Amino acid sequence: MAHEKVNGCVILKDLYYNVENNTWVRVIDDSTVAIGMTDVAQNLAGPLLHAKTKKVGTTRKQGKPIATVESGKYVGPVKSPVAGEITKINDALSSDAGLINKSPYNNGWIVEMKADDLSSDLATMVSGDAAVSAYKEKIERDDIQACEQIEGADTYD
Amino acid sequence: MKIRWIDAGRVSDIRSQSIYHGLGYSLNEQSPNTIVMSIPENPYMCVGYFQDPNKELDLKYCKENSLPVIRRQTGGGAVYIDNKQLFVQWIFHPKSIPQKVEQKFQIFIKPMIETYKFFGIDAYEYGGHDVHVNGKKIVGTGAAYIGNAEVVTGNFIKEFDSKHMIGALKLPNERMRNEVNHSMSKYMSSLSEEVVSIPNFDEVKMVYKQMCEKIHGMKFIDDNFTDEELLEIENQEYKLQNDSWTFSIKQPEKKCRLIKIHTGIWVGNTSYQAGDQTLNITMRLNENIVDYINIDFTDNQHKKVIDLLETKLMKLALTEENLSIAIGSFFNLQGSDWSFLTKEQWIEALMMIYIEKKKISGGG
Repeated sequence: MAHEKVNGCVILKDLYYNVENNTWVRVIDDSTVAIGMTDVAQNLAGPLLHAKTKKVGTTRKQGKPIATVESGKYVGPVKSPVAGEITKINDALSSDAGLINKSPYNNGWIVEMKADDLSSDLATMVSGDAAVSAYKEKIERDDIQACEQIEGADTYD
Repeated sequence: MKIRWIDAGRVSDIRSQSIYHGLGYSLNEQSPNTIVMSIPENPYMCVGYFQDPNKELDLKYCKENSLPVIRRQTGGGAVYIDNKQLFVQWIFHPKSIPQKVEQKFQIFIKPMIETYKFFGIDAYEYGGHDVHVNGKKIVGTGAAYIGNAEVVTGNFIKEFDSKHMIGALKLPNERMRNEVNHSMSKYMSSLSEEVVSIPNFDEVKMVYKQMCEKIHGMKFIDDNFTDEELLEIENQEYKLQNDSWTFSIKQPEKKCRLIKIHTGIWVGNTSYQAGDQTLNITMRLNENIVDYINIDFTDNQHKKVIDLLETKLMKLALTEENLSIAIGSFFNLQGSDWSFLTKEQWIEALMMIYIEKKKISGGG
């Protein structure tokens, strides 16, 4: 899978990113997407202890929470990068939120959604080299520390 | 950095929580970054966002002792709160606070540490988000993204009422309750434990304000809540007092009951079934080191051997390999007639608390 590392943080080039909210989108079909937290996000959060997703059938506007996570003693939302309806949730996260740390782009996916207007939403995100550039800029601007690989994490060489 | 300073004084139990929720939800582009100080008038139990009060608390005890239960939106565990605690609450724009969770806590606790030092207490940061003195926790913290704001909270504790704290926790047996009690005395502290002349909260507030100015260059403007904020605080009070919010988190039954005393220190209890015998283990872990252990059988006829085993396990770093060596040599010395568990079953039973602790603590 084409990827690049920015300050140690993995960016997969085939995904779309909402850089501001640190979420990714994988297009499954014309209107269905999988969504998760980026490698940058899980590193900023630290070891995740809990993750609670909204229920299947919940409709969300772009920027509204699709899940709530806790790391350390901090509780924060995962904001939806698309508007639409949640069609599937990652049940494994309820017993092992650490999957997001170990495998942010694969086993740690958070929800699947049927987007109301996917092409409009994707137009607000970045992908490929543009995503790499956007993260380089963000990491420098926000002085984000280097991402660290945790034990058992997906490897990208 | 200009900061609004609100000294809310003595407030009700619910208001001591609703203030930062309300300010978070009402924060808009024009809102200032705000620090609120308050003292809750009435005692209560407060659980973290992901905690299920039915699993964490002895609700009958809470009711009998007039302790309301409030589930907050910040993280962390169940805590007993009363008027011997001074709350510090930061409600800031996200861009004013670092994005990395560990750094949010670090900038928050720095002025608290310096305040303690001013009063002669050698406080230091521990575990990324707590403040310790001589190996004991003296400040607990919590944080969350609430509404549009980054919120970080903590408290100065004049005196900690461990009797109510421990009484209100749901624990499986008296053995564990005693050990939690003992561990809290050993690993938690307060102003009254550390200094002879306890500063009053007005002095603490004044020094804390100065430390925020000195460390973070904050310029304070004394002010109060706006009408819109007060309305949102009241809305949040309604939500926080509603059972549909308090009891909406359901956590599954767990094999072990674990109580975090502070980062790295946990007390756990678990049962292990082998045939018609039940083994009950109470253990305090300091990271992965056995700091205390008690093993009870249904049939306690081999208590003397079990006492020897407990001694053998003390200060052991819990790994399957270390346990295999320790249990193996113990079997060699004592024979195996006394044990209704095989060596492998002992290892499995003794690892249960550590494995569960690792799972729910993320290492902390």
